Amino acid sequence: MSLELPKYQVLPLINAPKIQTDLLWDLGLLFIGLGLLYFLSIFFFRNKLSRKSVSMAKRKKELAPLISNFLFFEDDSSREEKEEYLNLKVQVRELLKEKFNRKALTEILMDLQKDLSGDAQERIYNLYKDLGLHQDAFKKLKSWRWEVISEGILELTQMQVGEAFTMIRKFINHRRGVVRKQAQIATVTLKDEGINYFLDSNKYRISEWQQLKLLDVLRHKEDFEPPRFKAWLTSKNRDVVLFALRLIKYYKQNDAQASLIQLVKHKNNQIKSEAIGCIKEFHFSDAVETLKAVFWRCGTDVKLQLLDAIGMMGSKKDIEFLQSIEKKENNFIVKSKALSAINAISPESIIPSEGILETLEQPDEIAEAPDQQLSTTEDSILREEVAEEQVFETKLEQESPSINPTDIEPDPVQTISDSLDNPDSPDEEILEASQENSEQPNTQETMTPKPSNPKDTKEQHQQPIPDEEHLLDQEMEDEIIFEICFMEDLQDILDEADPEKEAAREVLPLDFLPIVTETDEKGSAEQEADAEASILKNMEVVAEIIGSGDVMDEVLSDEQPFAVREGASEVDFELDFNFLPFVVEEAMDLDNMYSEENAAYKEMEVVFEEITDLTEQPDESIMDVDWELNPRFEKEKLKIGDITAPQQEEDENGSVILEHGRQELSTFSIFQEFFRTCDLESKLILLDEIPAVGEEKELLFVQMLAENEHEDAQLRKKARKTAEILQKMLAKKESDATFGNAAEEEVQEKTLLGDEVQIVSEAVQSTVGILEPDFELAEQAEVIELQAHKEEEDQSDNSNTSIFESFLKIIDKLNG
Amino acid sequence: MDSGVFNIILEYINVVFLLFTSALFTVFTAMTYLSTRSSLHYRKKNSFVDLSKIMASPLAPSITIIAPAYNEELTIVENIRSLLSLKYVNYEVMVVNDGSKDDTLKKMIEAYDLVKIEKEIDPNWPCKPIRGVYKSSKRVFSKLTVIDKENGGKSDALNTGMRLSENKYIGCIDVDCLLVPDALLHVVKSFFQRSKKRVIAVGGVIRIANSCKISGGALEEIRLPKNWLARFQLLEYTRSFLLGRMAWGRIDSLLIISGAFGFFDREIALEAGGYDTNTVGEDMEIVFRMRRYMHERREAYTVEYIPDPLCWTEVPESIKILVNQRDRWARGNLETLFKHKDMFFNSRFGRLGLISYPYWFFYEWLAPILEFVGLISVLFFYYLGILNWDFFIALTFAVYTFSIMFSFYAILWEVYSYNQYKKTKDILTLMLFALIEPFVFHPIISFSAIRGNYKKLFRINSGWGAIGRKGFSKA
Repeated sequence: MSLELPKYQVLPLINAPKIQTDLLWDLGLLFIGLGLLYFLSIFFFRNKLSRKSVSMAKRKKELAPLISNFLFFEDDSSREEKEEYLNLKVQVRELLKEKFNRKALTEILMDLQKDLSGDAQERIYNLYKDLGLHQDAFKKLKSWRWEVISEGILELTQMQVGEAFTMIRKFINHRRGVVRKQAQIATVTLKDEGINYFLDSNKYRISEWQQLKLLDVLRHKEDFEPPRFKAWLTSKNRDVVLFALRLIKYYKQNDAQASLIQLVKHKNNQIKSEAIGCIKEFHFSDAVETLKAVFWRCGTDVKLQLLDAIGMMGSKKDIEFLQSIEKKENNFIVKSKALSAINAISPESIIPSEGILETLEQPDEIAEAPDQQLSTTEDSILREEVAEEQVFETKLEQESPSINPTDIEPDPVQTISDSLDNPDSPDEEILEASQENSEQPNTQETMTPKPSNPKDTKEQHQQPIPDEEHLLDQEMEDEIIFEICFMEDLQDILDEADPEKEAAREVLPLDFLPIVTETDEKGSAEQEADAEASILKNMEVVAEIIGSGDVMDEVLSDEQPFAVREGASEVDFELDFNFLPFVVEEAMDLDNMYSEENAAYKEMEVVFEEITDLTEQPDESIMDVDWELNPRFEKEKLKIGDITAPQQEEDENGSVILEHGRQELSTFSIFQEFFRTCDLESKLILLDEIPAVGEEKELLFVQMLAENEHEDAQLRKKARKTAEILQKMLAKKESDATFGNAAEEEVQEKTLLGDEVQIVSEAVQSTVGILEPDFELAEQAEVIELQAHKEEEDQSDNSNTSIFESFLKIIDKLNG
Repeated sequence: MDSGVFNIILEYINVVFLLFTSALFTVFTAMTYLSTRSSLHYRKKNSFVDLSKIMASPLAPSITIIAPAYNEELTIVENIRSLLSLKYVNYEVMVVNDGSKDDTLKKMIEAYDLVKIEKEIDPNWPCKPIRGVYKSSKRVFSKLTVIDKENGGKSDALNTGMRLSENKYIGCIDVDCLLVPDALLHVVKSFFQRSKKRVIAVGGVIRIANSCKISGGALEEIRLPKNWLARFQLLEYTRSFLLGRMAWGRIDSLLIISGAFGFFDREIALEAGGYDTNTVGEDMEIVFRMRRYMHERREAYTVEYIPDPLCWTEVPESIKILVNQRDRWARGNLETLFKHKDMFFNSRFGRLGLISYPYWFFYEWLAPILEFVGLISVLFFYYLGILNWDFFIALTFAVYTFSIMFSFYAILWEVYSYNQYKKTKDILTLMLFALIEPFVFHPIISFSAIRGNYKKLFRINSGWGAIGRKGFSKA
């Protein structure tokens, strides 16, 4: 029996709903319509946007000159300019009636204020308010649209409209994030106390971005006195606490130790992290126990920070804790950090253990090789060597599939020496500087003229730096060698200066110059010319500064104008300035020698007259000129000072002639030459300044001046007063030196150091007498002696520099 | 079965297609609305921002840009140079040489004076072994770190970089991408701007650099691609990035961040397990996983999306390469959806389970398959002589006009927001391509998707497939 279901009953029930294809067509048409609308909109918006930007650019171009006229108008302008200015104002007032113009002007000013600073920026702010543009911004604050309010706040903030502060600060807790954030920035920008208001009244969270911007505002505030941010560490707003912590760290306010330690226990990781950062920054070692206590409850990043802090501030008693971390912690990075913290507290506690060979026995091949080589003929030795090399290379290849230079792990020491050997290394400058520094003491101690040949200098620079011990030995050796050389040279000079010997040798009378010249390539005449040219150049500047002295004018007019040698390298200049002081000092010494009625110097008289006339303290004049030309020469100034001082020091141990010369030189005042060229008024001013910088030689000079009947009465009177004051000051200085004051503490230290040298030297001597020489003690003595020497020289440099500076001040004063 | 029942089945098939299409229209219309709102808001909000100020802020976070490189010797030096010239202070460029067979490493060593440095490596290292870590001996390249490792694929290379980085954020990019100078400033802003939610990832628009004028690693002039295939892709990318992702970003349901330009919170990315090395859709998978991780931790989080044109890349200009690429995308899509199938309509994952996942399932994975089935059905019904012509033509017309309208809207939004293509001719060309796209480009894409699904479902082994690049210097 079959069951036949009536079709007409089932099918209607499961029939699919009728699809309205018309609807689909309609939809299609709608989409076409919308598509057309978009098509038109594309071109409409394109044109609109481009037209708008073009017209704005055009209007800005028109208005920009007006703005600049306003900006550069001065109150003391001429009548015509003032009239023009008034006309402009009227014109601008007319323009301001149009909204579009106001917008353009606002944009111009806002763009300009970003590019300008100082007074010009201030003028822009004033102009913005003068034109009443801030009124538009105030209106924007009343808008119902958040973006318009934000725009208004931004405008008022950027144009520093302080009056808007009260209006804007009410938006600080606005429900719209953009407005709120803009208002917060404005509050902090417009008033110094804005940050206090913000931190006190902010109810919302402060995003990281906002904190970053607020800090940026504070960072760029001029003369900003930050409040003590610890006051906000107790805030209930977590972000306020976080921001306060960041500000504390930025402004280095280390007066919240207890609060900071407490905040390490905060449940928020960011706060914890910032607190640790502050503790580390301020080195609060009391916090170590707390840091240890919170360690196990922190995440990886905080743990790493904690270990960093413990490593920095911890003591040996914390090592046990760090070791426990190394054992218990699963995280590899944390474990490594714990080990490095242990090493930070107690260096070399943990030494490398990975990949270290257990035995260091010699490989069999290498041990056997000599025997094999001995037992074979020369050819077989060679063959075996080649074979061994091949075996070794194969082994290497097996160990490291690809051999390239980068696979070799760089040894730090090797790397440094490599870089030193390599003249193209980027560290070359540093190397050169260090070599210069290392060479300098040597030069100072031995009065060695700087190497005369630039090539020599270069070669020296390329030499690797010897270790410190070796350097000291070398310095001592150099000192002795130089002493001998110097005496020989000096003897040569004296011999050459002797007319009889001179005639016999047929040597030029001015052959002393090579001692003081830097290059052997030039002839002595050329060197002389160069030296004179350099001096002349300096003299020109001195003349400019002081005023045209007759003598100087005469001299300068007779000489060739100074011209910088073409192709002269920086090295050339450097060398020139290194040797110039020697020229002067040598010249002066020799001049003084001449004054001792030494016949040997008669031939030099003419030259020295010229040189001494030309060079009144050429050191200063050189520096005046060349520091301006090249700041590099400031460094040279130190070198010059360094060189001068030890010469005096050495003289004390040197010949009688030099000693005498030095004494003669000490009576020469730098003011002497100026008094020859200055007018009366300048002389009177100079006399006012002498007490401030003067020493005994100035006292002698002033006394001489006071007694000179040829001088003006007023000047003599002033000189007498000055002499009295200077005398008193010098007496006071002397008494200070006796009783000791703060300024002399360094000298005392030096004395103590000197004593130490003596003690050590004595110890060395006593040891030498009994046992073998104690090299360690001897070295120590050398080091201390060198230190003492260096300090002495430094002090000497300082005194020279201060006189130079004072002198420059005086010259400035004379120039008005 | 008689013809009555057959007709009923046929009608139901038609209804299914109609419903699917209607849902598609609705979803896309909603997306248009959301993306418009989102873009307008973004535009207004960011008109007050001066990014340059934060460049050197002491609070500026540290970022590592990880760029995996495999056989990139032609372009690697120039690409690194571009990455090193970004406007930001606190960042590092980490190039991971994934066992290149060419001279990629050698070129880098020579160009940047790299030297091998000591670096402690976890003995339980989960990635392929590292052969060496290199840093430049020149201070000017101090931001550059090169990791040389054994080949393990893109995901493994990214994981290596992620684990070796010590910075707060990591950026995973394709080494041949061109980032605009202030890209990192935008990224930092996106990470930092939220106060209530933790931003776990930031993605951005990928723009097409084919035919653009690029000099010294910088984009000098934006031009419309000359290649027809690249033009279609430009249109597709504009729709996808300016409308699609913007809309998903608006409702915080973004499930994909392009592998070419994605930034992550390193801590979360690592805790979530980093990139999955067993999928070719790692860029989508990591976002799924990070989102799941945050959901499970019950922490407030979000994924940010930047619509500004920050990253420019070259797209395939040959059909073969394009098909390979889309095939891979389809496989990656399927792998990820399958791996996280428990999220499907799962209210525990909120919008993610109820909206995002189903959308990806129906419209990113199922749509090409349905299209294919539809096409087969049409041919079959036509063969049987029972094709409902009225319905077929009306539906095709509606879908076609909708696609044109949607493309035009994307072009409109591009003009209104960024207006990158200044010439009217370029705009008209794009419109023309929008008109022909459904007949020329769309079938290629659908075919690629079907191929990818077929390979995956029938377990046919297929890796990444070669992606030949001309290199920007030759563009």
